Amino acid sequence: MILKKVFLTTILLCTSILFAQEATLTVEYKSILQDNKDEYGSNDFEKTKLVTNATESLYFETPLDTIVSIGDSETYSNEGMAYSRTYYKNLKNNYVIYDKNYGINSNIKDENYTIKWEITENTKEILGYTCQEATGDFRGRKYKAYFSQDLPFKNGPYKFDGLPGLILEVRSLDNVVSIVAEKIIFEESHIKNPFIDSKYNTWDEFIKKYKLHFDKVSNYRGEEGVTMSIAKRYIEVFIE
Amino acid sequence: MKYILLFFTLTCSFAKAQTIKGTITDGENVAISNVNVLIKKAKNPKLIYQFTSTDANGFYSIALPMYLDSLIVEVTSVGYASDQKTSFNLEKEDYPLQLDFILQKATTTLKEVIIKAKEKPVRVKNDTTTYNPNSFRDGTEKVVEDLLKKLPGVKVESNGEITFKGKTIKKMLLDGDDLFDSQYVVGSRNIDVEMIENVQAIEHYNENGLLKGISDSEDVALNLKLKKGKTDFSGTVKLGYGVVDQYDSSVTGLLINNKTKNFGLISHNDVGTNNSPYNIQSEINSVENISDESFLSKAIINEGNLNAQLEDLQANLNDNFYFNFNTLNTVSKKFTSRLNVGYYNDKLTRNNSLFSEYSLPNNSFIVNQSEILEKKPQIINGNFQLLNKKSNKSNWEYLGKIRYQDIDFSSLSDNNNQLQRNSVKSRYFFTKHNFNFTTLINKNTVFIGSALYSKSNSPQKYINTPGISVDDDATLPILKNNQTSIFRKEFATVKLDLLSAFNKFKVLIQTGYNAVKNDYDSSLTSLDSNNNMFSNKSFRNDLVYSISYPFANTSVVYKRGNNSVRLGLGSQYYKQELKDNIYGTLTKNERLVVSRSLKFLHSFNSKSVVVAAYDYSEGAPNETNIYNGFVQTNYRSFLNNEANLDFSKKNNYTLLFNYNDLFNLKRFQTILSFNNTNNNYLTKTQINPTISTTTSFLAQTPTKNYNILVFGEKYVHFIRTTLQINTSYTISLYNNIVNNSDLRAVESKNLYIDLKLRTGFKTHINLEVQTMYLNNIYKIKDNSPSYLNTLNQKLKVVYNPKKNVVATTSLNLLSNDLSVNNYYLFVDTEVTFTSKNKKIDYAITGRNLTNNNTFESIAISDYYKTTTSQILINRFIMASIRFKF
Repeated sequence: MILKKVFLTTILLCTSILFAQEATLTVEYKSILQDNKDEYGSNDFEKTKLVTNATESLYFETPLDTIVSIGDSETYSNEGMAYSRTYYKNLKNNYVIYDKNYGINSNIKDENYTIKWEITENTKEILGYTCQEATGDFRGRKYKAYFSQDLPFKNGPYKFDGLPGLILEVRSLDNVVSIVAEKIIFEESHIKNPFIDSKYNTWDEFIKKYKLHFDKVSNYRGEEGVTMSIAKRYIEVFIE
Repeated sequence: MKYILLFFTLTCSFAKAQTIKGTITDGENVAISNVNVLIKKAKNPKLIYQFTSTDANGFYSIALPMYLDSLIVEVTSVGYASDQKTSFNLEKEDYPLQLDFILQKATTTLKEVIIKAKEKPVRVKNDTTTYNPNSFRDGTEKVVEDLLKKLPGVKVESNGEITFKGKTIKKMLLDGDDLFDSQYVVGSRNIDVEMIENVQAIEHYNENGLLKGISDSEDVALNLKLKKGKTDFSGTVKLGYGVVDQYDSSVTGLLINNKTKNFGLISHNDVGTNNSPYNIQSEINSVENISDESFLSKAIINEGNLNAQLEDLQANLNDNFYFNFNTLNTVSKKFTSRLNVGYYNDKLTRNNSLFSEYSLPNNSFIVNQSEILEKKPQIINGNFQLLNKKSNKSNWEYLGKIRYQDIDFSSLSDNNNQLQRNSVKSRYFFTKHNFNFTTLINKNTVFIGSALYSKSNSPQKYINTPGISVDDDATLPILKNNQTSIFRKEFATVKLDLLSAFNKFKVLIQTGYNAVKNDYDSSLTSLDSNNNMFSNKSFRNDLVYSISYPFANTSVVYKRGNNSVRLGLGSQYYKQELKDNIYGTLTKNERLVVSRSLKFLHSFNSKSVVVAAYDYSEGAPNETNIYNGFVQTNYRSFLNNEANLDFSKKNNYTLLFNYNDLFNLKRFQTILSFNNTNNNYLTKTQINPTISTTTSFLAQTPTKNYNILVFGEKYVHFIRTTLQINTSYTISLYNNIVNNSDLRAVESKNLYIDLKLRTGFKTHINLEVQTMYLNNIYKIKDNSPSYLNTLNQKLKVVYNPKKNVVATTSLNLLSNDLSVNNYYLFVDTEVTFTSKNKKIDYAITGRNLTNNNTFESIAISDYYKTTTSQILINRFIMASIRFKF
């Protein structure tokens, strides 16, 4: 009899925990990276999607299939690119593992990307949510992030997280990065780590390999003395 | 939502850090981790002041940076109901202040707000590759062409023609506008590279915006994006003077605003440079003419052999003046107009000597020739376009073109000790009018109607003194030959196209009617030493050759995933009529031609693609295949045909594999191709020490070509060097007749190997080493084959001591025939200094520093070997200055 009661309680507990944990939210962002300060910057025009629950999330990047006009005359296009990159984030254990590898053929596991946020008193309305502003530095750029207390997920797009509410907008102060929520979808989704057992580089290993590759590319000579360069900076600055 | 409010009234306690801590558990006393703990000021309860979150034990602790009298602590977590506690009179508290929470499980009711952000308008998908010039520049570039040569996938031919991924570009746009049309060479050879922000290569380019996404265009265009602030008025002035008496100067101006785009150019030089879209200095077609080839009347009398194995800068002795002006205007909201006018004038000189050894089955002999020649071309042209964008659904355009070109050619030739004077006067006229109307029937279907009319004449007059005769029995010497040749061509076409895109298909249905009328008149009259003028029927032509055909073509493209298939089918019902006014004959022929093509493409991934293609086509003889009477084309050559209205039939097969991993600095491409012409035009040559006659005839024997091309490039890091290999191997099987022989089966094999090595040291000096080897073999059954091996080695040293100083020295070692010990060494150098504000370039150029006066090049075939010797541009050193404004 007692055993039965314990058993029942356990089941009840489990189901409610499961239920609690599966409260998921999907946010679609437009993510723009536009670093044209010199030849070492890069451009990305993406539609991204964050599917998060309290402890885990998946983040997908796909190209905006379009020409984007930048300023008066410049345009950038995704030339019919079709890619989909996936980031799996574990908020409990504080790591993110992803398959955007910048040409270095291995996944990356990043375990030290924590941002030290400072909260300000500025607010901004995004998709109907009052969002509070926070500022922080992240790998070479200063950011403003806007998060909503009403969505108590400590998450956000890309590696931006750690605020007491979901980040609906991130902008770098150098106007290079902007990730802005365009749509919030309330639906149950199942989150599963797609990178279980996959090999990966740690962040430091990746940066080391990327630097070597950068070196190779800068020594390459094409026909007629063509030189090439690859980016030093994406959202994160890889090479100072 | 339910809030529990707690009030604390406690005694004052100061000088202690204001730290708040606590544990958060659920109703079952189980710690909850990762709960948001929000500290808010009581007077501002909506804003978070500080925050932290609980650890795995449900514990939190936060030290406030500033002392607060009252605060709200709110805890939120997904899956639990939020909770908050407000504390007043905090000075009375003991610190650390302990605030524990027990949270109730709840389905988190998220505040749902349904607002969809408004999407910014985005333009449709485009196939564009954008190059940022800075990444490709090394400081030696001056004009756009110099930059284009460096972009991966882009090639610039010697006539200025630009190709991208092997396809000739259709247009070169300036900020999206087509200012130059077919004269884009003017832009690429004259616009200063500093004005360019970036270069975009647009694949699947549709000139007509309405066709976007509907037409399966395979066209390619380049777009030059101008730098901001380079609008308004800018330009360059270049002045160069070389010792002795070499000039190179030009003025360019670019005026741009939102209503108009203008580019103008005046240039003069005698250092072998050609800034125009015309290519008169060699046999290569002018870029301007590539798209008009089928509308232009032919000319067959030789205006001087100016072909050169060396580059123009070494071999093109010229005195060139070119003026060009292009203007594009927005007349009104709906109308834009474009006008291109040009004037070209040149004086090309050359001093050639040819030594030819003929080895024929029954005899062998030597022909010694030399020619001092001068060619003066002059071209005036005007192109006009009026474009009306009636609405987003339809537009029309008119394109008009008119060109007058005259060439005066004179030479003194020595043909095996027979001295002759030659004078050719050619007067070419060409005009073309084209009207296109496009309308969208619905989102996925478009209709195009077009009409075209063109007219072209090319009269040539050749006076050869003393004359020569084909007839060996001529008793009296000929004082003078007077050869005239006039081709005239009229072309009219009406065409209706329907294009549609649906699901994964793109379909084109095309019907229309073409009519072509060719006139040909020629006559050779000779004056003998008795002052008798005479002419022979077999040296005259008076023909009217017309071709007309209705046609219906269709092509279907199906794309699915990584595969695409394109199927083309065409049918033409030909009516040919050949009227010979000299012999009073009329030949007619009717024929239904069905052409077909199939192309299959599969991409394995973003880096590898394989393409297989097949096509079959039939071609009606053109106007140079249908005259029977002999025409004297130079001081020792005659041409004619055995006229025949039959069609030649061609099969082409191509297999291509392309691997392009630019990121990892690896590229590889191989192309296998085979073409087989079932019946082809062959030549029957009669040759002796003084004259040669060539007769073309359509023979029922196949001509076959096999070709394999391999290209590879790889960067090797440990030597900081990029290696590149470019090879091709071609086997051609064809037939010919020489000096009354039977049909001879000729096998020619051609091997080309080009190895390049380029260093990318992070020093001031870098090297480029190139070795090219060429092997030609001609073989005829039962005869010993003839060989030619040539080797060319190049070394280029770039010295870059400072950012604004570049010095380049090139050494070029050529051996045109490895069987003899004869080498040429060319040394050229250039030092450029750019002022800090990049407004002024100073350059010192040294050309042909080893002062090679003559250069011998060698050509072989199955029955001759010819050594051509030409005089080169002398050594000179030039100082030049270029201002930019």
